[in-house]
Amino acid sequence: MEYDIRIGLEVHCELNTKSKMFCSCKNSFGDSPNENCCPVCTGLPGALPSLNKEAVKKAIKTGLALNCQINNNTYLDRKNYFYPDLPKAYQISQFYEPICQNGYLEILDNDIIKKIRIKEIHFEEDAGKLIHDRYDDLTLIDYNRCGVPLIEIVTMPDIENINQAKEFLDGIKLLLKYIGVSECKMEQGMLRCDVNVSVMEKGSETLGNRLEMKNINSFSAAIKAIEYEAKRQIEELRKGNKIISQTRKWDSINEKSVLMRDKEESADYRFFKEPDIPFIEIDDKIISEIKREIPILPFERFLTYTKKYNLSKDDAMTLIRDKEKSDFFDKCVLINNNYKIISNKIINDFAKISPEEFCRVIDFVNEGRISNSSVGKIFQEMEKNNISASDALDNLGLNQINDENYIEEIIKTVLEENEKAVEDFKNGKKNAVGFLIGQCMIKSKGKLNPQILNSMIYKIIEKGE
Amino acid sequence: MKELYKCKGFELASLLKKKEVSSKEILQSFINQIEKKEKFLSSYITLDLENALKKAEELDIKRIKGEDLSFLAGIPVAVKDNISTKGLLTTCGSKMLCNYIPVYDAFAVKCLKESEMIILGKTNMDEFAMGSTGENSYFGVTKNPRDIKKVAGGSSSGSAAAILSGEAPFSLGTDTGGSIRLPASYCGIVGLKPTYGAVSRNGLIPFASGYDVIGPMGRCVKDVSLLSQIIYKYDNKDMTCKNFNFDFSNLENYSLKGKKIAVIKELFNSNIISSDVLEKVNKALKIIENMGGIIEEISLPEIKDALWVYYIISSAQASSNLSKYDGIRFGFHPDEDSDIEKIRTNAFGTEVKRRIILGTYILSSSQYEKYYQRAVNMQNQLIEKLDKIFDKFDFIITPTSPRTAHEISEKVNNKNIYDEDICTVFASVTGIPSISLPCGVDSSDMPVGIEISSKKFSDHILLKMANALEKEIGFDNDIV
Ligand SMILES: [Zn+2]
Repeated sequence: MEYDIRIGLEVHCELNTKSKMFCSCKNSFGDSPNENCCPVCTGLPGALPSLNKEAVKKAIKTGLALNCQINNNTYLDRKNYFYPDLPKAYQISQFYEPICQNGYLEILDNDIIKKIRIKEIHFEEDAGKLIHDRYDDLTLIDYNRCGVPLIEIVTMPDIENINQAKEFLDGIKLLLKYIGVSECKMEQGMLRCDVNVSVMEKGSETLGNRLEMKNINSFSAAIKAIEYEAKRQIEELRKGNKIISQTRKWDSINEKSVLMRDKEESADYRFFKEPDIPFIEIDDKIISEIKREIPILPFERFLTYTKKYNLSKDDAMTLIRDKEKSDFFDKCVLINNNYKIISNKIINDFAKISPEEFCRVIDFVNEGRISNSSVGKIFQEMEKNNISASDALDNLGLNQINDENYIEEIIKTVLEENEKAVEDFKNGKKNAVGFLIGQCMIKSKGKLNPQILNSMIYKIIEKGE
Repeated sequence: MKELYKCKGFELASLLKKKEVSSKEILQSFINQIEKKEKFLSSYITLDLENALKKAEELDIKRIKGEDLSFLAGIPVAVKDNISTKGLLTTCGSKMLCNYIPVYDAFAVKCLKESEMIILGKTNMDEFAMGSTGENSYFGVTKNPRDIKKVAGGSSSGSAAAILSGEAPFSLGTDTGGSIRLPASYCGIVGLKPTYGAVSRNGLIPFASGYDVIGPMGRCVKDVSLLSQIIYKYDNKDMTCKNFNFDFSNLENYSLKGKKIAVIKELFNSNIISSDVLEKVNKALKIIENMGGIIEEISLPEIKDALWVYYIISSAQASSNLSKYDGIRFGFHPDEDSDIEKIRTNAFGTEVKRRIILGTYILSSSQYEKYYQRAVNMQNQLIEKLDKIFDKFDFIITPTSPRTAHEISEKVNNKNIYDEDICTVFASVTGIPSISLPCGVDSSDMPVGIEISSKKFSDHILLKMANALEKEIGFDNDIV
């Protein structure tokens, strides 16, 4: 029997706001323990949350970038549970009316465009960090991370294979960076993910029982967890066993999933509207303002680069992965249509110079005035001294034309135009050659290599006989 | 001159202004009274008299130097023990927080300090403000100064008793379902529950976040109005707090002529209200008519539903608000072996546990729609209904409590004890301002309270109305 897999992902993303979600404490990683704390984020009695508007805007921005509907009248809910890293004993989250709903992200699965539907994006606040292993018999708590704003991006179970899962996770990470809502540093826990996997008979319409794996702290681990879990479930089914809905934990050291709890014992979070925070009214004006801040997104760039500019997929992705380079490329192709050379030079020799000057250098290459291999040097010179392309050529002594073919052409034109002087030379007037050399220099704006010009002009005149 | 502790707050303030007395003399008079009365009454959980004396001396020097001081500068005030005071024990009347010292001041306390009022101490209360009698405190029952066999009313029991006994001229209470108005009524003083969102809750240790408000208590409407001026301030740290400009400056010369007053049929024509109370409130209504007010009976059958709306929503929110008390980071933690279950079992009182269990059940995913969601819908309907009533009427008048103060432990096991709140909760669930002032005494010489409510953010007008009525009623609430 063959099986289909369906994968749903929940990506938790820390927003890069200046302050925390509900207080003015700094949102930063790596400070000394409990440095960024106050009565609000440590849950002292009577302290009240004040909602960070920047976080709301960033959530809306993410929603718009993922083609979601924005909920004009949203609110926050309390999710009640006990854990020592959660000082209020509830997390301010969203359950009933998430801020964004019904969106999608497009990915490419073996050259086919696939839409992965986004069910919702909702707010969460991060919890503190428990430190178990520093002292014997002691668990320490660092509340610096407590109250850091998070959004959770929840997909529909649309992902059908490992490649799509990879593409989705890569795509979402790149998109979040593009719109500037998160630093996406996985090693600092800024992106985490929960994975749902279900398996069903090939062609079946009904999803198998869902299996959830929580808090996987790297995307590569998520992929391994999906692979493992899909295989495990298929093996169970082949053995004739049933799959029961469970929450499992991914053990990234031994690379296997272990049972956390059965569905029957799942926690009841007793959600209700957070009474300390009024309804969040989001008017259409704000939404359209935020919309204007969204740049052209990676997937659209990919299609343009590969289709319109005929770049290879690898080159397109290399550019896109670095937004600065991709933006630069977009500016260059408006002034110069040597797309492949531009992309090549950006990928290999990128420097912080203006697109106009960049394209001038590309033109020099095309004109044969400089060799391909000196481009990097020229860019560096331009960036270092903040000078124009031709000044850089001067500085580097690359401004001479050494190309013998080119020099020959100039000489030939000059000789044709000055038959009298050629005649004079042949009649023994040796200094007539000086006049001809001068004419060549005028024609080339003084850029011909004088030695080459000198030796070539005699040869050409003599050969011309 | 009568003894200072017998003076009303505004009288003390003018004596100070005229430099006829010093802050220290005023304070000393109240301290003497506290020393005399406190052993019988338990109005306070914590006293902070040394600091108070220091502050009074400082203020006397400032006054001699001619510094510009606010009207209530140098006047003592008592603060309910669920309002955070930096460096001063704040217990919420609970064993759970018997050792909790806040690191920050509540916004309202900051306001008192900015006006340079002198904080005497923290007043006794029903544990986590759950109760209407003042009997649910870990620190003992507050007695009614008029008759120490009787309750003072709750949950702001100490804040009311301290005023009636001359242990403080002013106090802050908190009201979630009647906790300012009921003890004000039982003790025969004046207590105002502000519009929800008019006074910052920042630093108020929550019971039911959607209803909790801090409010002023005093001997007369004028005192309550003076204290209102100090605490009605916008605070951007409380998102439910609205920036509204109240004008408390002109309390006098308010005419009731032509003002329309609604009385709720379902309360007055039933056996809920005792005849003694009804008689006194009706007498007050007559006075209002004589003053030119137009009284009209309206039907508001939902007033009874307000009670269950209140108990469902407040218990649910309480179960969430109180779940952080585990003794791990602060509060009661007797020994290393105590786990959370032991601590919570041991340190919460019966009423608190009852409501936590009720609230937890209400919010469970299988019950949420049946109870919480329905209560929220009902509440919205009630808000709409009241909006309509206030389109036609200026005020709603009810008794504050169906009965006057009863004997201590008389009704402890009576499940109808929640009915005591029937007159007060409709203002709580709809967020409107509501004031209780005394309108007479019953046959056993215990005060009867009349409750006046008005539309949201009309607190200053409500005070004018109450002030005008208070003068005509002429209730004698001398210190007992
Ligand atoms: Zn903080």
